[in-house]
Amino acid sequence: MKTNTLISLNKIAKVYRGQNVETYALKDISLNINQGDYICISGPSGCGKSTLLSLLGLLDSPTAGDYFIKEVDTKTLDMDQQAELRNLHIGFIFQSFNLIDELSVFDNVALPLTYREPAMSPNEIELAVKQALDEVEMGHRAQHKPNQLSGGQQQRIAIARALAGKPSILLVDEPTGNLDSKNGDAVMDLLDELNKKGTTICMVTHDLRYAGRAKTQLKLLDGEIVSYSEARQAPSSDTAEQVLESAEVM
Amino acid sequence: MKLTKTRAQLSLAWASLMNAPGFVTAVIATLALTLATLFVVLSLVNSYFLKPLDVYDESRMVVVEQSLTYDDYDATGFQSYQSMVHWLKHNQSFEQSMMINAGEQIFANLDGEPKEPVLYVGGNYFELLNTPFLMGQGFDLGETLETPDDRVVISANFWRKHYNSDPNIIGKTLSVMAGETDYVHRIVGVVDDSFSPPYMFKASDVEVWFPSSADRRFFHNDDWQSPWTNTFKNLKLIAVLKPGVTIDQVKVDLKQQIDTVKSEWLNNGGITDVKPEVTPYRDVELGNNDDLSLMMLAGAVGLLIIAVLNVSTLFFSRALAQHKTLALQAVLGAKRSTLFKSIFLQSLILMTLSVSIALFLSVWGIRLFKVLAEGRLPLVNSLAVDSTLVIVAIILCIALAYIFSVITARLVNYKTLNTQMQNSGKGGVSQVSGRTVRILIGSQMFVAALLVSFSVMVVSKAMGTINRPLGSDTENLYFANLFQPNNQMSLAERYEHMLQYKQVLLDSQGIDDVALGHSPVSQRQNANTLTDVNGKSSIFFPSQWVGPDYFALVNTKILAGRTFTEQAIRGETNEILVSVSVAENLLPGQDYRNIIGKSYQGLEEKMYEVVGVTEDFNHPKYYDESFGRHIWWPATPYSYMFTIKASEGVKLTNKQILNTLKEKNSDLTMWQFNDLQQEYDNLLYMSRLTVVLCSTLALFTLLLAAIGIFGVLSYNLGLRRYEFGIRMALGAKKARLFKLMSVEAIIPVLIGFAVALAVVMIGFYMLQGQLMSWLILDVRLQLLAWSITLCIALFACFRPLVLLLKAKPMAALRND
Repeated sequence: MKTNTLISLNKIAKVYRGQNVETYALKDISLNINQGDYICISGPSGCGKSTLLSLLGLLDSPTAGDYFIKEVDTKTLDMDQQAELRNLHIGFIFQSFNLIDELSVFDNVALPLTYREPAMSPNEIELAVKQALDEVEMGHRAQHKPNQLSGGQQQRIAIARALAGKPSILLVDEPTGNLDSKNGDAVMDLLDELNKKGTTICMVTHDLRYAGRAKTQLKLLDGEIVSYSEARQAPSSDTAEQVLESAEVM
Repeated sequence: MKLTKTRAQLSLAWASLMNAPGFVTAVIATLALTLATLFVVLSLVNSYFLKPLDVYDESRMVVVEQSLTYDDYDATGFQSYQSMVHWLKHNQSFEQSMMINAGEQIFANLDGEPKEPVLYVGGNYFELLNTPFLMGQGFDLGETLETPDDRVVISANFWRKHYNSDPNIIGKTLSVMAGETDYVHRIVGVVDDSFSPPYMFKASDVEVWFPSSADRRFFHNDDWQSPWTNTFKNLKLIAVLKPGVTIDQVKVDLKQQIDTVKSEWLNNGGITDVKPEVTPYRDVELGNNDDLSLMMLAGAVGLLIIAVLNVSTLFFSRALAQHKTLALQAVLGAKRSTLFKSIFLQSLILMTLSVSIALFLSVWGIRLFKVLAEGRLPLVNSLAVDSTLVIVAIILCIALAYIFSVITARLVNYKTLNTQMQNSGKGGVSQVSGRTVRILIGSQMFVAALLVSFSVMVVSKAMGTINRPLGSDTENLYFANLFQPNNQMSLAERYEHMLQYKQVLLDSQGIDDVALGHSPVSQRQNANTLTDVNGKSSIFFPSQWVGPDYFALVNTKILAGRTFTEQAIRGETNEILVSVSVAENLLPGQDYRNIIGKSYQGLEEKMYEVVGVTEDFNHPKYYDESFGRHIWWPATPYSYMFTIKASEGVKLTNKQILNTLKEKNSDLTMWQFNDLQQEYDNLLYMSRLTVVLCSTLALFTLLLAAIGIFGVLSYNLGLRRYEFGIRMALGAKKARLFKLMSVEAIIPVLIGFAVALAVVMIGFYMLQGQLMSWLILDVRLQLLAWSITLCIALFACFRPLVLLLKAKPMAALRND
């Protein structure tokens, strides 16, 4: 493993066993995600994108294989330890934002910080929240409730929440799925900016307009990686398909 | 740092609760009311079992009674003065002792010459019972039985009522009516309002205390020597044992003492033995009421369990509603303990609010209980929201918060929480298990149907009592019982006087009619047996003394035969009337009219001829024992009992009637005066209260059940919006969907309902005998209640479904 390797997957498989049927959601996935990477996972419906993302996010456990995050073997962790690791290293951004309507924007962003161990002081939390909100240019809405904001603004808050704890990696699941194109562009621009500043991002999206923004393209089909490539910087005239044509299988 | 985390979680918990006002209201309302009831009962239990009695030294205080053995039976609990005085003066066991007895006196120097209950007590009564004085003091310690003691102590209320709170009351006099010369007593003390006389004498309304020697039923009564067989139920010895003396030792000591005067009591009136009965003071004071308090506690705990079950269902629905928020917290790194803490905080906030409101309500509940139970239960005055109750409340608060948190946490599958986030709004169809929903609905229905059925049965019993025809009018009717002390006249002379008094009353303003006769609705009933010519004695029948014109005045119908003759009232003939049920009891299987002319041995072993049969008389208090059976004796004028009909809108008073008759005979005095309607209302008071309380309970139960069923179904259907959207998009008509869902909802409702009904019916028929005085099965009322219960439950089922099906398919698919 390279010293700047954040996540390492080795021969990961995920099998769902029903009464008479076994479904291989993922087969033999091996992958390294390094500090500063911007990976886009794409593929047809049912190819295992969400499963892979949930494994990366420690929301689920692989049936086989090894998963290391920051050199920690996740197989050895119990659920509380996984929660701790998730809180420390992983930021989630969901398609449907998943903000808590009863809490203010400030409190929503602060929520993961309240679970931090050892506990953070109120001043530390306040500082982190302000920084995160400034990062997404939503500091002026700190006392609003999520249902008082537009979809794009809510997604920004969700991004701020994911950033507040200074995670090692952002896992992003269809970030523009519930947004119009203008807001979608704005959110993707924000993610681009964050990556430029060094944030590691792993994103799942169907939207080919945005898939090409990632530096690395990972294509899945039937639970297997069929293509892994460093996408070149797309000139404005290139389509995403043209960008992806240059991918090579890992 | 931990505080920040806790504060954040508290903030989230509070905000989350504020977002669910229906849930919060239902939980708090349910628990606050139930806990308030529990706290009131706990206060009673505390008084009975934990709190020491406010007396001199409870551990050494005993009550001494006697057991008299006659030739063919024993009588326990009725004491003769001779025994008590002898034990008072001759014992080795007592450090202190005093006699006490209850009675009634007419106070001649007070306005209206009121008759009041009194106690005759020994000098140490006030010390032994820690009696607080507003003014003055009690009697000298020890008994002074040899000479009449002219002192008296009154209550603060008596002082305010009859002496206008005269600040110079000490030394003023109180005269007891006694024939030619009244007995004059000096007031030496005024007892504070906070004092409650011992319950064992049922003397909650005693306001006057005389020394024992003033009880002329035994002491200083030259006209009459009370025999050993003249016994009093309320006559007792209260003693403080010498240190180290046991009750068994006391019994031996007192038996030895009473045997030294055996020659006085042996064969006196058939007495063959006199034995002492010694009981700890607390046991006598509480009687069987400690059992009653435990029963009440069991009832209150049962109610709490039902409330917890109801509230658990609400928490369950809440847990389902909160699944997503909990899932999000888990994704963001909250551990299981953190999630549990989050759930616990919400639960704790709710329990704290519920318990606080319950404590507040229980203060009022205790006040109400004191008003209702005063004179009916002991130690009522000592009930209070004290530190014991507050500690119990705090423990309950934490315990309930923990229970509900555990229930909620068990429903939250931590493992699937994480995976729930994967759906991320992609139209997931995660649902609650159908089995869980059905169990929830079914159990809600079961509990609700059970409670409603029980409440309706209690209400039916109470309504039966209220609606049952008395067999007599009471409106605008009054009862006055007058007597003339030292009346040496013959019955015939008294009869003539009675007619004159009756005429005086008839000539008075505000009086429409007057008849001879005792109150039909008195709290205490007399009862007698009748023995037929073959020597067979009947059961006891409630009885009443009335004149010839009584039946017409109070509208008690004579179904056969006639009323009394004048001769019967003068004591020249022996006549009796009976109610239909008595006739049927004495002559089973025959027409009730056949009893006319039959003779039965009655009062003073004289033969009485049955001259008439009346409709049944259904005294509200005694109906369960007598079932309308009643016999009517002729009201011979040993005293002058009048039933008076007032004119419409006129209110008669004791003073008015007494003063009117005193113009004819200044020696007359009023022994008893009652407003019959008021007396009847008093008798029905508890029944009416029961109707109100049980109806409220039933409605509250129905409301909770409806909220519970609605909540569970509403949330579950909400989760299935996407599924319904798909079905509608595929062409399913609303009616078909309605049918699909209604079957899933209705079946558990019906099953829960049916099981509850089966439990109710089986339970009722098995326990009918024991429960007869509390509840009955009125089929019509019960069917009505069940119908309403089912309708409300079905409405709660259908309403969420109707709301869901109103949405357009696309909206459902988008989960809008």
